[in-house]
Amino acid sequence: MTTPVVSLHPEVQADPDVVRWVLTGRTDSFTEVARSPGAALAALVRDGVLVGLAGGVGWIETTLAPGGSWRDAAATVRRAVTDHVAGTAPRELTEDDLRDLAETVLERDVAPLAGAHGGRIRIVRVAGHTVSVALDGACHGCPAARSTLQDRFQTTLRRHDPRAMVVETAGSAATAATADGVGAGAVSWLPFPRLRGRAGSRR
Amino acid sequence: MSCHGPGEGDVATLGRTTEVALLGSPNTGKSSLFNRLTGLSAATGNYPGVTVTRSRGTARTSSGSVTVTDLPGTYSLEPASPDEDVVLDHLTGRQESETAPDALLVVMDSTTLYRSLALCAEALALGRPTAVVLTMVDELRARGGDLDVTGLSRALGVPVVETVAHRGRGLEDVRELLGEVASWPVALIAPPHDDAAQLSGWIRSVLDSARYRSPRSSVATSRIDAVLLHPVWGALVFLAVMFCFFQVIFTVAAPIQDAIQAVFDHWGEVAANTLGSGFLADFVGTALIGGVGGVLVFLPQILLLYLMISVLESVGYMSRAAFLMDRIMARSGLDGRAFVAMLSSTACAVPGIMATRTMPSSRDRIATIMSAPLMTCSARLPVYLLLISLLVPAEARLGPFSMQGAALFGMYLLGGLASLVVARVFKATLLRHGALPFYLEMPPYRLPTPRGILRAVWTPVWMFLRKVGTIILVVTAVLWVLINFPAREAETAHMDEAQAQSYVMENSFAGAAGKAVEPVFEPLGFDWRVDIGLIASFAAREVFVSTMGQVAAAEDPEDPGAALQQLTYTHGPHQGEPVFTPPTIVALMIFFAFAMQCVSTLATMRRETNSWKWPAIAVAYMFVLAYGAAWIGHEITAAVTR
Repeated sequence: MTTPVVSLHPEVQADPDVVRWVLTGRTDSFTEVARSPGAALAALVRDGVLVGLAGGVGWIETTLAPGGSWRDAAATVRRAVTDHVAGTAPRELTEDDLRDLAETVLERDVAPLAGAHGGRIRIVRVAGHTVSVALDGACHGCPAARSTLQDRFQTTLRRHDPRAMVVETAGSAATAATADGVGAGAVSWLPFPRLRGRAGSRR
Repeated sequence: MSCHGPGEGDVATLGRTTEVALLGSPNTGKSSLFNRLTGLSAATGNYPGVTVTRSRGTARTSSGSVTVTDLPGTYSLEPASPDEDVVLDHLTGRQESETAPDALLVVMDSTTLYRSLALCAEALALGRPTAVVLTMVDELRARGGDLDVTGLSRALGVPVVETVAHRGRGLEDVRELLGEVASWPVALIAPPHDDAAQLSGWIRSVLDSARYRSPRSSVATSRIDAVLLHPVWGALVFLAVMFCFFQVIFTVAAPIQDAIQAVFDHWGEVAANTLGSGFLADFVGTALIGGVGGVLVFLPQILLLYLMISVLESVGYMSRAAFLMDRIMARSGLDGRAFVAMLSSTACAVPGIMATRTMPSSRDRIATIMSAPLMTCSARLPVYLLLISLLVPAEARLGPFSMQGAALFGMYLLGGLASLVVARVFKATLLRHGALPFYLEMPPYRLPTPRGILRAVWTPVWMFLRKVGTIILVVTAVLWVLINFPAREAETAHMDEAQAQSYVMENSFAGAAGKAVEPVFEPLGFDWRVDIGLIASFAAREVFVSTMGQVAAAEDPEDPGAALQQLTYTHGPHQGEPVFTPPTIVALMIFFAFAMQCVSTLATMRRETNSWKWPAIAVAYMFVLAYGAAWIGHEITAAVTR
């Protein structure tokens, strides 16, 4: 049996039972994975190997049953995830997907950069393909920081949604989607334990 | 220091330092990093196969010392070659007398990350605490590439540090990383290293997450390569480079050599004045100064040889030469990998033979091992230099070039061609086998660092000095005894000093041995004194030079240099005629080019082939080849010069 080629790699989350399979080859959302998993994934859940499935834009998370070992299960889970991804036709990102994606990207790629300069960036609202952000702290009013952050944010988003736009709005907007404090903190060589934002995670 | 890593692969041991193994492909700057971390010297180079033995050293970190092992460079942990066997055995603790390392530090060249990640996948799958060092990051960025270290670290699940290994930047970060070895994570999920399609999916995904942008091939590099790798121009440049190489050895080294000679001459006078006459004075004058000193004066040439090899290597030219040679080597049935071994053999056949460990086909490997000793090693250099100076006048010129340098170039060419032909013969007869794919890295051209060059030169120069101080000194001393005893005081009582010296030598133990084999070498024009040197040179080729020095000093203690030139046959049909005629010198040079006169090489052959059969074959075929070719050379030269 040949396995279809899907570019993916696992990233361990703060909870070692949870592994996020990052699907860099796919730019669409996998939020439906919990509701309608592929046959192999469904079998793993039925057999009690996995107890949780969750998805987002470009990733699927699998939660191992208590007492299970990734050493034994990883290869099977990888194949099941691969099958699921290969069997799902890509679909257009919804507004919700873009919001999820923007939060993840902000947290992983943009906030550390802002934090390193003593600033903060947060999402105010997502409408259509436009993500409105607010810049606070040291970044506020700094034209260089603004364009750097906005560029980086937008470039990363556009890998998934080519029409995505990042615009800056007034910092006082009340509809901030992200909790405060994401941006602070130094960048460390070991960033993964700090990644707690698993939007859409159903455990 | 106690270790309490997060993973099951972690070995917590009190009372011993943590063992970290450096793992990486050839050419990643791994050995450079090792040298900088440990302060020890391990050879580093631009072509695969330099790091054939692993080295250990201690790296000091903020939280104590860590023992670092530099494993041989390898592209894969799938044991496809004996080299990779060693690596895997070491990593899994199967290596005898060694425990498995506590943690792995994977060194990856950021300019060739795709391939490095394949090895990294296998390393992560071993389930040991792991961290990654990225090298050449400056070069990646300079050539328009980029990567996000944080993203890479997140995707791999292990810490990643970037460095510029060659110049020592980022080194402090690596030290800090080593200090935190106890908290290096174990990859929870092994990358799919045994399935090619899944592995490439994993690698692409990791690279994507790290926003990896591969470097453009540098414009300068590709322009230079267009010439240097051109079938015609490249070959011409290669020959020109090599020709100049040997010109330099003669022209630049000569004044330095004269200076060293002057020092020894001065010591000789001092010794003669203070010690007077007698055995001690003779021992110091002939054995130490004439013999050992006679070898030592070739230090400038040896130094230059290694200096130029290491410059060509670190600039990146050697890989191009290997690429060019690959086409020529194909005719011998071997590939460019064999060239690497052959090239190493121009320094010494021992590392050359060890470099064959990178060859996956055992038949190719043996064919290379059998032919590598024909390459002109640095031990032959003093012999050639002595003989060429007897054969070719220093003033002789070939256009603007020194004729002596051209002759030396010819000797190296002879050795190279002979080894190709021999490899071809072995491949066509005893070792018939299909070829395996060969891939050679073309590193970008780099400016050599003085530090790297110094290290590359110092190691072999120090080994030469040590050889002179040990084996050559001992053998020379033993020969002095064999040449000067029995003393025959009664017989020489009525002779003058020079006559007495000659008489003692002729009737000494060594003289008897030389005369015993004289009939064998008579067709080549060697007399019994040359035969003494020849027998002695089986201990180390350079001993020939020290022996001839002693013989000459015994003949004419006042002017040993002239004595060698004026040495005449003492008996037989040519009695009274000079020994060192062009035919004899040519025969001697050819004999030295082809004969197996190196015990270390035989021992290495035995170890690497795990049998006495191959060393025995080598001794036999090389003696037949040496004798036959020397005779032909003798006859042709005699016909031409008569």
